[in-house]
Amino acid sequence: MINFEEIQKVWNEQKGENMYVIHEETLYKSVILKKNASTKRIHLVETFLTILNCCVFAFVIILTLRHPNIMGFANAAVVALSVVYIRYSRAKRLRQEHIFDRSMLGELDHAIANSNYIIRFNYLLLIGYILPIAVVCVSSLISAGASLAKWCLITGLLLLSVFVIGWEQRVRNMPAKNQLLDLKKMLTSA
Amino acid sequence: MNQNEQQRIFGEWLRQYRALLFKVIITYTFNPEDQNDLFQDMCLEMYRSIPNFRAACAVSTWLYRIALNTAIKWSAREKKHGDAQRELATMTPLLETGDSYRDEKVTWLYHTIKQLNAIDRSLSLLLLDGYSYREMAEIMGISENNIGVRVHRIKQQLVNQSRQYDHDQF
Repeated sequence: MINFEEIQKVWNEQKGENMYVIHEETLYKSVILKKNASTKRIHLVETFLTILNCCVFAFVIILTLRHPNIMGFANAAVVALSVVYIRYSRAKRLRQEHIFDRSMLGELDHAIANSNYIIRFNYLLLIGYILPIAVVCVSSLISAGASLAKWCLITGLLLLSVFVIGWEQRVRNMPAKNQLLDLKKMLTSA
Repeated sequence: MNQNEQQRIFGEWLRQYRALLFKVIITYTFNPEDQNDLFQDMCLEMYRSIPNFRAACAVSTWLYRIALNTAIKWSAREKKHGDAQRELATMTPLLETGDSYRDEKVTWLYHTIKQLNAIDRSLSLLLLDGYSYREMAEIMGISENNIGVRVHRIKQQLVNQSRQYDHDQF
């Protein structure tokens, strides 16, 4: 059996710099492309939701001022709070993104926090958007005495959106978070 | 810092410390597609980190930290970002295996390290590259005692694995 010092010698003898040939021009292009793509997606979602919520807030507050009632003001307050929450979360996320001297444990904690952010964002989408839309749609269908076909179409679409959000949580977000938690556990337990 | 300066430092780091990046890539990937993917992620993080580098530590330590953190998060990810992936798939591969990555003993060593769990793989690289327990503890964010226990276990595992390898090679 060999000892560790001999293994160390093998390691030191390797000529690592010639392991691969780098295509530098393609690499630089891909770095810029990837840099833009990863930030663009989440930025678009956050901006879209902020604008949408501002429009909803304006709409609800105008309606409520015409016919003042507590429920109207409560709805407007919830929508306004959701805008504040989205902007606060965004600012927090951006502050965290530019820290590079984290330890591996710190990096895993940050990745777990990001995972939680995405999971919370999806729940917010479900409770803050799909649920109110479902309530409005169902009450409209009842008051209009809609046909069975319309009921099926609207209910189907609502169920589909709930299913898609649930599927993303189950298949993508939760496993990713669990894998990070497993790594953290692996790192902290000797 | 302007973009030209950032690009110049990026190129310089890439030429000077590419061996370090390659070691991490080989340890965490199992096929050429993954090697390209992880290499891109590492380069992106390296590029982004340039304005934050303050020379409080050696460039190699800084890059090891970035490379290992990127690799550990990459290995935890089930699916990669789809947006850029499709466009990138049509590009020329970023890495091609060079001539010197043929040494049988080195190949065996990488193969053995790859059998360790994701965390111990990082530690084994730092150990073999001569980092102290204190430096490893800082990079990993865990106590020196914890590092000591793990390093002892890793050394034992590597030595035990060598039994299965043809001893004459050493």
